[in-house]
Amino acid sequence: MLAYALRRLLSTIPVMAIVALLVFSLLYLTPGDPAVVLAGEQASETDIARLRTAMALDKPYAERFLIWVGGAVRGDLGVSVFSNRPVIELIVQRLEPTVALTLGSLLIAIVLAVPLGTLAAWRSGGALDRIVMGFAVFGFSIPVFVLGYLLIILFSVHWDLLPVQGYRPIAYGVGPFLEHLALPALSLGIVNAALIARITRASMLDVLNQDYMRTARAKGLSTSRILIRHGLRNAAVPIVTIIGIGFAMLISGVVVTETVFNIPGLGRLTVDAILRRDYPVIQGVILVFSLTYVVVNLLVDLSYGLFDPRIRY
Amino acid sequence: MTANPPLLAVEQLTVSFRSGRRESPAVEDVSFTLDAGETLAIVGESGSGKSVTSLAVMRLIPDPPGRINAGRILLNGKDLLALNDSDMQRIRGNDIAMIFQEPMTSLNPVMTVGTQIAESVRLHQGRNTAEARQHALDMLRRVQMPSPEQRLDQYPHELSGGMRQRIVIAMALACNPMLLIADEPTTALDVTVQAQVLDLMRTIRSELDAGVLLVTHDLGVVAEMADRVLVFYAGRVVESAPVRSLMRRPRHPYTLGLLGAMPRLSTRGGTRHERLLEIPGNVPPPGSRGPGCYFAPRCAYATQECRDAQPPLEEKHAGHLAACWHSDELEEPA
Repeated sequence: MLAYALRRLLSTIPVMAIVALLVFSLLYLTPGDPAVVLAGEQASETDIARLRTAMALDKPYAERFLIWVGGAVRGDLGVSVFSNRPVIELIVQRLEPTVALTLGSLLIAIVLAVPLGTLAAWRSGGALDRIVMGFAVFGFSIPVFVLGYLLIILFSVHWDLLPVQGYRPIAYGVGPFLEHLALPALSLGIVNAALIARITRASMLDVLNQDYMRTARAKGLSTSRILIRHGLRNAAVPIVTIIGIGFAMLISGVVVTETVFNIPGLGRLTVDAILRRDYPVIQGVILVFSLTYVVVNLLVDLSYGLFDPRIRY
Repeated sequence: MTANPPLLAVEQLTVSFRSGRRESPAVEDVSFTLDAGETLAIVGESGSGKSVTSLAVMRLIPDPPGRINAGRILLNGKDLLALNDSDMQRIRGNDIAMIFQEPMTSLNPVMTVGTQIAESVRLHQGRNTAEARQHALDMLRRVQMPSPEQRLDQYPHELSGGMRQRIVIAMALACNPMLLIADEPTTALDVTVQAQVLDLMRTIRSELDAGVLLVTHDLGVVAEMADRVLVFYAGRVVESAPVRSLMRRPRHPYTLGLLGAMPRLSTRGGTRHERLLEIPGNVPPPGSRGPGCYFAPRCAYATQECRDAQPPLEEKHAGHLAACWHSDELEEPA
């Protein structure tokens, strides 16, 4: 197990290297001289020349890449062109709202989807199944920003229950924190919930037809115990897999959701950086997102052995 | 006269399965009784309704598509079909337990076998985790599991087929059931392991004084284990008799065919390669059954009478019932 974890951890290095190369190339794939692009329209020739030297843009491509990677490994992602502050500092500042939003929506998605998907499988073909699967199609089809505005209109404008926008750090109290987080986490969570519910249903349907489920019933166990203790654990591997894959969707959703709800997180930082062509920031944020995705899926892989003892590494 | 009710009495049970709009019967008008300490074997080809009957007693027919249309299932005089779900859950695994056919697939792959055995004891006898674990260990010893302490924390995939079947048996016996239903308990096992498992079941039966409903297609197993036999054909009971009476002189041509199709070692020299007899044709699917005896299309004795009217299950000899118009004309088995 430990050996497998280490091996699996090592195998993320080439993945991250490729990601880093792509992220780094981003700047140079855009047309024009990067220094001109970065310096902006009002820059003078000397400004551009200074920037070129400062960013080592006069060095060969491979050397620049290695310099950048060397910095990234040590946590130095360069300096924002716009604010002149280290990129890593900007990211750390914006981390909390995004982590809160991501975890919150993931929690909502799992809490909604796993029981609903299980019930849909148990009553497959029935009314409950159709309602849940209808909800899943709806949740998966509706764009996050549309759902976000709908929720704002309903809960904030119409019923005046929750704040329209913004974010309160958890340090200012759990109540306001949750109040502000509720709608964005819900609108982002629904999409993921739809996906997880579908997979949960499919996986449970498969498990429910297994002989050992009949054995469990023959023991006189209650339906809930059969579904949860005997069913879900057997159905878990596809479910955690889709949660890991859905994480990518969550990251892109974060960018949209933070914009809709005006949350000062990494998503906002990304959008602002793109609008300002602040390439070092864009690169830094993408690198962080990619790293998170790779780590999440590494954890998913390692979790398989916890759910299914037949999986040995 | 206050006769005790039999341990299990099945009365006019009819079970059907829907597919699309069509509802086809899997079991028709089946009645039998089973006493404590007795072993009743149900034999028949696949699709003859024997497994469906045993599942119906547990009320484990998947619904939909299956449905118990009519009949009563009385356990000590109490109708199981009239119970609500939670009352039935108290009976399952406690009063009635089941040994399933496939030890490879009927154990939960992600739970240790100790937990799986302990589960029903905790549920039905309200024991705590430690007591239930101890009980599971006792059960493993009782089913003669080698090195039982280690087995408790193993998963099914770490055990051989024979060991898994012992686990399945230990699970079924954990709460000392009064009725044990064994659905093809040895079919999926190697021959040597089969003998061990049958041996174990005999030992346990004598300790437990439970009634055993043994579902099998293996007449060898029947001869070794059963007191009485029910022969199923196309969802109906065609013969019901004490095992010796049935083996000596079957009163239904289908049973005669089954006995003829059973391989046996000849003790006489010379005829070692005796030919196995087969029954021509197949069990007719529910849609294509006529008004007469379901076996008539495959029967060497069939007459017009057989094709026109279903023969009733009648006593042909003391305790020996058969549903055949021509019982008396049958040859004795070779």
